[in-house]
Amino acid sequence: MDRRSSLGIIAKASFSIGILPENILLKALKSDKEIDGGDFGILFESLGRNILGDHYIEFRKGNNLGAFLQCYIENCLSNEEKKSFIEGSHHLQKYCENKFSFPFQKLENSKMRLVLDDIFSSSQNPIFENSYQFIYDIRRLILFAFFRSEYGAKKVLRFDPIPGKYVGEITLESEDKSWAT
Amino acid sequence: MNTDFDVIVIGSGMSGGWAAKEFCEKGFKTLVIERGKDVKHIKDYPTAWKNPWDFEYKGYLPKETTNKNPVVSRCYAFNEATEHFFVKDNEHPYKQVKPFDWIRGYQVGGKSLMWARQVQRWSKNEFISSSRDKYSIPWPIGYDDLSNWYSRVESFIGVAGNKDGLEEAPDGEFLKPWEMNAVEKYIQKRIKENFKGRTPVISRTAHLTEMKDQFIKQGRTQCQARTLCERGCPLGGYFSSTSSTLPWAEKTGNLTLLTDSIVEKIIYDEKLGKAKGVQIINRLSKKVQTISAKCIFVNAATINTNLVLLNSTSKRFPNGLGNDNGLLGRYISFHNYRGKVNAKFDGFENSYYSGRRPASIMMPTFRNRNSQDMDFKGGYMVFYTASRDNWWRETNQWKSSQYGNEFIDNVSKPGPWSIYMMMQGENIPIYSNHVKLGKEKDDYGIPIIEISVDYTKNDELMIKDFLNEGKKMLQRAGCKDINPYDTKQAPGLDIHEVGGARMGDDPDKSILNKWNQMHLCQNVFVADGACMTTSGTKNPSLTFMAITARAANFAAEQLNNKKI
Repeated sequence: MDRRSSLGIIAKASFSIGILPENILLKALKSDKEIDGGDFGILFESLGRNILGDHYIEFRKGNNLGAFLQCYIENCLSNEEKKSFIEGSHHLQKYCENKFSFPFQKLENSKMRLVLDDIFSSSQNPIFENSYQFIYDIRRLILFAFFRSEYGAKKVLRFDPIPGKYVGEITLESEDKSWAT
Repeated sequence: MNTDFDVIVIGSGMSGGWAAKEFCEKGFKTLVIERGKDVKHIKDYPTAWKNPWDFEYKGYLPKETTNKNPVVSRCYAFNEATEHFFVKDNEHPYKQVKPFDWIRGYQVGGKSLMWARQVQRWSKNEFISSSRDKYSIPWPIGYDDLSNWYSRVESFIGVAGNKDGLEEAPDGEFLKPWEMNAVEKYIQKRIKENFKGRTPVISRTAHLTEMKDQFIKQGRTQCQARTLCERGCPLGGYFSSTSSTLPWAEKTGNLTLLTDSIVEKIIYDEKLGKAKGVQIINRLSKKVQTISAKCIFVNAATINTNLVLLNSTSKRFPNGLGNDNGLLGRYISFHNYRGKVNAKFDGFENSYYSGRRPASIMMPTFRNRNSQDMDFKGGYMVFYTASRDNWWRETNQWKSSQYGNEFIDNVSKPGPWSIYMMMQGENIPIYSNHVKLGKEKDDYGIPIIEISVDYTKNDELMIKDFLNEGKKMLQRAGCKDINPYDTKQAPGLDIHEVGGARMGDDPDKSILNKWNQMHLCQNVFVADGACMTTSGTKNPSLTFMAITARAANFAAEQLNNKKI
């Protein structure tokens, strides 16, 4: 079995907490002893829980965000992009360790939000190296995983696998959602 | 397998399927040879019903694949759902003397499985402008020679379109057109009001927007507006040779389909003064075999057709079949896709659309129509679409600092309107743009093709004009944040390469006569893109099919009268 297939199976079969593929990202994080008690999958799950809000609970039932993102970053991004995620994750964890003595995923919810608010407002004054870019990049990937999932497509967007026809003009009501693609 | 046929058709794609259909309908025992694997309609579309979440990477390809295949990865349609229909870069190597992205599909159906399905008739002007403005030899045929064949093809494949009455985009046998959305209509109106002679209309596409007996007989059903077309459509909602012409030919009992067989060469019989068959190599076993026929149609797609002909050497034709004038492989042209314009549009906030439309808005050329009045030769079409941004907008534009419930609620609603506009420019055929056989050989001992095709100053001037005019049109239409840009992409991604065995009346300057018959080997016909004298401005597939149907009917008469 090739690497891609095996990673895919792991990503599908495993839950992010506890069982994770031994990929480059994970090794990179585990090699740094300053980052305690976590790994990439758990960090992504924690970020996803905040980015996705209440939707995370239902989304989580059928999806393994941490494992998928690990697999996706490992296999679908360029080395430069991977490096950016590794370094960004390092910096985030160090920032949390320094400020609260815990990595991001072990923070209380209120402190997680405090950290995210700080990062999202850091365009002019980064709180760690490339903090602003890192948070947008990780949010982008979380949205990608979310809206391309069955839950995101069907329950949050409007998904119609067989529209039957194209209608050029319909009235958009204020609560109407985008079509899933 | 029988090794003696009335007709051999090399290639099973867009035009090969049409040759097979025409010959089989007329009772000729016809062999279609396909170098790639078999693909059966419905059965062999493994991803056709998959949802985004059914794919390992939700539709995207891993870097391992894209890094190994930089050429095909640049094709818009190459993704996790379609990769099995595309030739990977190392599967059939070629030499890029100049950068050229050669996009291919080696299977039954060829690229007709993954094509963009835009079908427009050429105009009268397009057949004459090249000789009028002196940038090519004259076409030996005109619009009137093809008009009925266009109708024949359109009626069979099904073409959605509106009868717009435009000289530069002749009407055809149309099914119900696709609709425009509110912003596309508004831009159409503004362009028509502000620019005399510029008329955007809904594009014509090979999709069944309504049913007719002809389509039911083919086993096809109405397009369901899914736009997952490049995966193969189990409904037969769009035309492919796999869903339409080949099964139709098969029903006659006259078709033999031979897959996994690479045509090494056409065998020329010196005594008879004509071709007597082909030599093939089995792709899997590498076994060599000879098959004979009275007539051979070469429809292997432009560059491979040139490869087969150039490799068909003999004592009589040491430089390739029918190549006494040395022009075989020369005058390759394509479509210039480098010019694009992005823009935003405010307004129509309460308007949306439903379903997914496999069409865009097209505008026939408004340059050099009746005479050359620009500083460049040839014309260009313009295409545009308007759509509402979805959650993707967050990925590159929408720099909100939100997250959580409110953020997801906002980003899941339709965003502002975005406009995308592009050019499809006629590339002028020149002698130096060519393909030839290289010294290196592939795994089958067949020379690797070398492609030397590039843009010229004419293309640069055309791009400049489009970028200016595109910006002006969108400005007048009320768009904002207008961003014209030149992709600088290499030729090839248009997947509209044509020429190399061009048609013409003069055997000293062309390879084929007006019936697509080789001037110097009259039982060999070339009826795919290789036959094109110029590229014109229109998407080429409809013209390939019409030309093939016409040539096949002529060849059938010749066979019946024992003239070939």
